[in-house]
Amino acid sequence: MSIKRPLPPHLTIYKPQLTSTFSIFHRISGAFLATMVLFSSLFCLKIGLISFTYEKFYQSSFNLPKFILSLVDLTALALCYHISNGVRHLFWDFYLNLCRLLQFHFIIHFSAPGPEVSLAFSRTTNRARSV
Amino acid sequence: MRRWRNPLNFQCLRNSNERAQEMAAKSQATVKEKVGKKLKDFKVFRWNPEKPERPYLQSFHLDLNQCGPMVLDALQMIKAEEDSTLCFMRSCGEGVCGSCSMNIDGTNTVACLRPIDANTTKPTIVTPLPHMFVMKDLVVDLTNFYNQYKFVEPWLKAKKPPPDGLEYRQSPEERKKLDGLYECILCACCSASCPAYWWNPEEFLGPATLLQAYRWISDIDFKL
Repeated sequence: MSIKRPLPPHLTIYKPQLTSTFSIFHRISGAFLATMVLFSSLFCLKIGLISFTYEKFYQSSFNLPKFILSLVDLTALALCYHISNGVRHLFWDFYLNLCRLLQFHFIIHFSAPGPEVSLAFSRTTNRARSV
Repeated sequence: MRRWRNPLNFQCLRNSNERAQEMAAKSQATVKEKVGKKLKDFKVFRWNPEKPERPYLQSFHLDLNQCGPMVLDALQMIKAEEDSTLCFMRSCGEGVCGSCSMNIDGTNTVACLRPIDANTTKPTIVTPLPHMFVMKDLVVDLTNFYNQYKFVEPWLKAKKPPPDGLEYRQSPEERKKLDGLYECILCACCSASCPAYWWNPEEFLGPATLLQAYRWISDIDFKL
């Protein structure tokens, strides 16, 4: 008899863990940084064509709420996370005493983007003229 | 502490309907019994290959006061008392065989070592190992997993006969290298929790198999 066996749920039910969260965000930030690296030059060359000719676009970018992160801010955040996670990964791979240092690394890892986040925040509040 | 008086002896009821008195006393006794029960909801994954319907989560309510502490005890009680068609694998009941591996509340474990969460406000959700084909209810097809284990040839390979001609001697340092590797019971919980193994089970060997490959590599035969 040809009965198709079902697959039990995986992504929908599995409880996220620290290591899996680190891993997927490392992948997401890496993919994002890769696109930015490849297309940022093209973006910088071509954005003038849109913003200086299409008036409504320029006005909307002016009138947007100040707390929305620009592409530059997102890229910097992704870079901070990616680098700190990469360092953490190397550290965990070569040093075997994980349990004792887990909280230590957790703190370091999440405080690494701290300066960037505060800079981004300050930039959003002082944004008066242009992005 | 307030003592509960038998309602049959209440002054005001003595002259009223005796039948009503008896019923009230009886219902008070059963209320006490029912309040003493600690009902926990178990939502268990069900699928029968002989029935043409889709998989579903079936709710079972168990009295935790009558049940053993581990999730496997709960499953056995369900099978004994409520639904004997519930299908799951189990053997030792103490976490050394790896038969009862399943997903409990979002984490893969062996059911015989996972205590039941006593919080009765939330249900416990029991599903089979994620992204492994289901044969019936909580039993999954581990053929691919076992074939991958066979593929790494998990046995001692001696290139030379033993140095003294009698046996291969293992020093305590060499034995220490196996700590953390030999304990694997091949329950498939780790492989079934790996997203890379979910998306590519044919190409990727999985954490369990790779760990065992390393176990045999770091064993004495590698030096020989």
